[in-house]
Amino acid sequence: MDNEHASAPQVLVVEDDDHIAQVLRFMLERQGYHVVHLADGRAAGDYIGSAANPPPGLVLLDVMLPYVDGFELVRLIRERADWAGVPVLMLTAKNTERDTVRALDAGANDFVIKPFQPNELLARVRRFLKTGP
Amino acid sequence: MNPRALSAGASDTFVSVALWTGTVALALTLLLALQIVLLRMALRRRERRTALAVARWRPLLNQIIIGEDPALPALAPREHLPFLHLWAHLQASLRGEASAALNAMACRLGVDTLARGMLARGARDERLLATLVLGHLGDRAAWPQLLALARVPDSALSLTALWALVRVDPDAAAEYLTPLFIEREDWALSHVAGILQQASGPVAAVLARILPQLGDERLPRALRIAESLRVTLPGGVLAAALQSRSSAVVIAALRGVLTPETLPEVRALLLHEDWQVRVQAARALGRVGERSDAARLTALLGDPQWWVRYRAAQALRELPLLSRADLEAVRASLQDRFALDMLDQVLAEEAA
Amino acid sequence: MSHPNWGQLLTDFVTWFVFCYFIALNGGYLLLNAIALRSLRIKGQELFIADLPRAYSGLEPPVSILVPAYNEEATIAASIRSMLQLSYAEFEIIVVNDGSKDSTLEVLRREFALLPFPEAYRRQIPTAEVRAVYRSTRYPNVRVIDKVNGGKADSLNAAINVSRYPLVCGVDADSILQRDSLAKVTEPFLRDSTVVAAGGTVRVANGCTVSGGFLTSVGLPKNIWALFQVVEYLRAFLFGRLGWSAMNGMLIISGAFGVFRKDAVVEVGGYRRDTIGEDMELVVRMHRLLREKRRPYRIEFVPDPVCWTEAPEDFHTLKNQRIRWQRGLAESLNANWGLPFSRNGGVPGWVAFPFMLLFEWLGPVVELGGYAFMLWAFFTGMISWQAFGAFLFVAIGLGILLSASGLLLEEMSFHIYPRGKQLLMLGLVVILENFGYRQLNTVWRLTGLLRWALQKESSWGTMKRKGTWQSGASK
Repeated sequence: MDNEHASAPQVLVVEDDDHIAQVLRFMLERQGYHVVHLADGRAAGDYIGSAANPPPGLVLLDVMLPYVDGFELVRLIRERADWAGVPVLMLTAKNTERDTVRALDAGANDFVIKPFQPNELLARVRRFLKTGP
Repeated sequence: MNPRALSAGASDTFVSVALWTGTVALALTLLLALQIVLLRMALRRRERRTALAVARWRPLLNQIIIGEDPALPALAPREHLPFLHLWAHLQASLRGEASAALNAMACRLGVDTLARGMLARGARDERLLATLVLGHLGDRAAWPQLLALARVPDSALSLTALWALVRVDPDAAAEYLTPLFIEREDWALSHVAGILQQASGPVAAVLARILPQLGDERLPRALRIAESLRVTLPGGVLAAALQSRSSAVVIAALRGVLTPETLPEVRALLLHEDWQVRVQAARALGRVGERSDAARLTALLGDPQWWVRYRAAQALRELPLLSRADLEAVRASLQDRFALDMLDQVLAEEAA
Repeated sequence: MSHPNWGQLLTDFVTWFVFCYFIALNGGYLLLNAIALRSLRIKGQELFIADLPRAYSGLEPPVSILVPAYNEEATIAASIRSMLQLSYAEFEIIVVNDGSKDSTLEVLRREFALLPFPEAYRRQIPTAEVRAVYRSTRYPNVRVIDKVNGGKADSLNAAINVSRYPLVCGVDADSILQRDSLAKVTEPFLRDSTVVAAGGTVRVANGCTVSGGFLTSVGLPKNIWALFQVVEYLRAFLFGRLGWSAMNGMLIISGAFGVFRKDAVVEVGGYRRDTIGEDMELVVRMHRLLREKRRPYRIEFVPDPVCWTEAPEDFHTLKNQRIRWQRGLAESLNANWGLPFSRNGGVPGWVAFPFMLLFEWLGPVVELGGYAFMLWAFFTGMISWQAFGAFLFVAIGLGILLSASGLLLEEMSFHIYPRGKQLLMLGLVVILENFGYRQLNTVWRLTGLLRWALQKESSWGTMKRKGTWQSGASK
């Protein structure tokens, strides 16, 4: 509902590694997106849980987060009615199949394995934001 | 005799010695306090310097990463370490074009020469950082230096050098260093495997060549490396290893059984006297066994060793073509209480 | 001048003896800190590499975390949840409900959706009766053992019986861990295949912000007792242990956080049930038995801050804790007389055990006796006020030097207290600590020693389950 008024799609980035978070923010803002960055699972959980926050156009989520991990956050996102349709892109650091399967099972729309290619990540983000609500 | 005079005399030495000791202790304490203050100030200075360097270079690095081409200022000497830290950190999380762009940027700034210099003369932590940087750069010119580093007894330094070598030239590294991996027991398999994954092809080829010639002391480790890289060994190698006299070799070989070719040897090993061999044989059978092996595994459920029973039960559960009904039938047929308990436990574990 | 003054000679002898003892005591610990310094230097350089993001390769040794719990209904769920957050490739958590009188089991059943699990219980180490084993349907790597009360050692043994992985990690239910704690403390096992046990550093959590079972920021406590303990930990428990570890003579691994090779623990017989200091006793026994068998082994110490606990903030709790620790120490040493000066004793047998015996076990007697004697001698005029003053100057001065060295090592390595004001406060406490706290500690330790000596003959039955459920021998 609020997205119609926002001129730029909003991306929620939850990443605890500060350097990577800065790269992501830079990349996304360069593309014209509005970035909200949270550095740990607890803050993200609070943000998602707070009704005052409108659903973003996309959520970019790291798996390994302090206090609450990425999978739990995806569950929280899917539980909230107006966020249920928000595309979730997960950054999985472990390059084992188990984590990628878990990500998709938890309800993520796509995943990117770290180390990642920024351009590829950007392409996936663009795809979701184009077809998003 | 005046006791006071006597006591004063003896005490005098005591007093002076004690006072001297106390004064030395006090002086040392003050020295330590000074050192603490200096350390804290140095820490602050370092933090400030890092913050400044990061603030200056981070926007440029970000631009490079997304493919832009900004003008680059010179890298000041006091910015060297913070910049390299940040650069290496980013490189570890990125790949593809971004990685190549960061490498190009580094060369333009002269970082490759810088790193090679640090490698030659720097302190241990600088050498570690330099090795990391050169590995990311894939810098061929540093090959001889890195090679020398891979052989030092210091395992942190040698492992990092190894990782760098594999990145610079996977084929040459595999050729030269595979025998080294097998020999260096202090290189944890976990680290070695992680590093070698980037060169699993060449390493597999080298392993296939040298495995037949290895003695029983080295063979277990070599086989475990092969297993962790999921290297399919040439036919006869595994079979020969399975028939070795050394239990350690047999155990390592059983772990690498991923195809049914060696099934007869595995079956024979189910009755081996060493319980650890029986455990691995049961596991292997779970991976590659056939339906007919159910009987053999059921027999193993009565083994005196807990772990053998456990793995046998798990293997039964994993056997292809064995349905739930079949497992129930097996369960009904068991007389041994231990076997029954174990099968119940394993069946419950599956219901996660 | 014909007959010597025996009284005076005796006084002189004792004075010099006490003086030399204090020098030896503080000097010994200073030497340990110096050895620790070398290890820290090497460690510091690797910290940077460890900080870089690294992909798991999946071959890290899996760990079974053993959590004994007695009457922990208030905090057990949060503790276990935080342990589930550990960044480690593969691990399982085994909670042992040791016949709690409160609703610990109910809380666990509810919070973790427990269902009975048909465990084929393996009686490797004899324990009290296990009533049931449960498994969490929400978190498949959590199991709960419900057993008849048997004490903390007994619970740990039961958990070992049920554990599936080659490494076991004993923690207290109220230990506060960090996400990388497990990775850090298992690192020695990766580096060296002869390592059979690794202890983690325990730090004081008072004054730090803890939420959801995790430490969010470090701070200094406001309570004076806790402040003293912060400095005390730095002085005696942290870097001293690193020094011992460098020589492979470390005799204590805190029950709050330590990792062991399961097969080694089972081989030496598991934890001992009839002692208060079961954590220390196990380690001393491992040294003794492995040395007897002439097997190459190492027991290491990981100096990184990995585990945090709440230190007692009032006189009584602190006093009881220290008395308990001293008794635990005495019991651990007393159960392993085969170690000191044995043939293959090595550093543990020839240096560490005698050191513990002389300076920790017997220490309170000599220290307190020394102070008492000097006071008496001063008041009866046997020694001059200069001598008494000089004695105090040395005793306290050396103590301050030792405390300061602990602070220096902390600053060189982890410097976890970032603000300058905190450093200043610590410096102040370093001085203050030696004007009463250290001496008070000696009194408590003497009490502990006396109680142990007097209690030795009678049965342990009621003693072992009294008091709160905190680690036995020492932090």
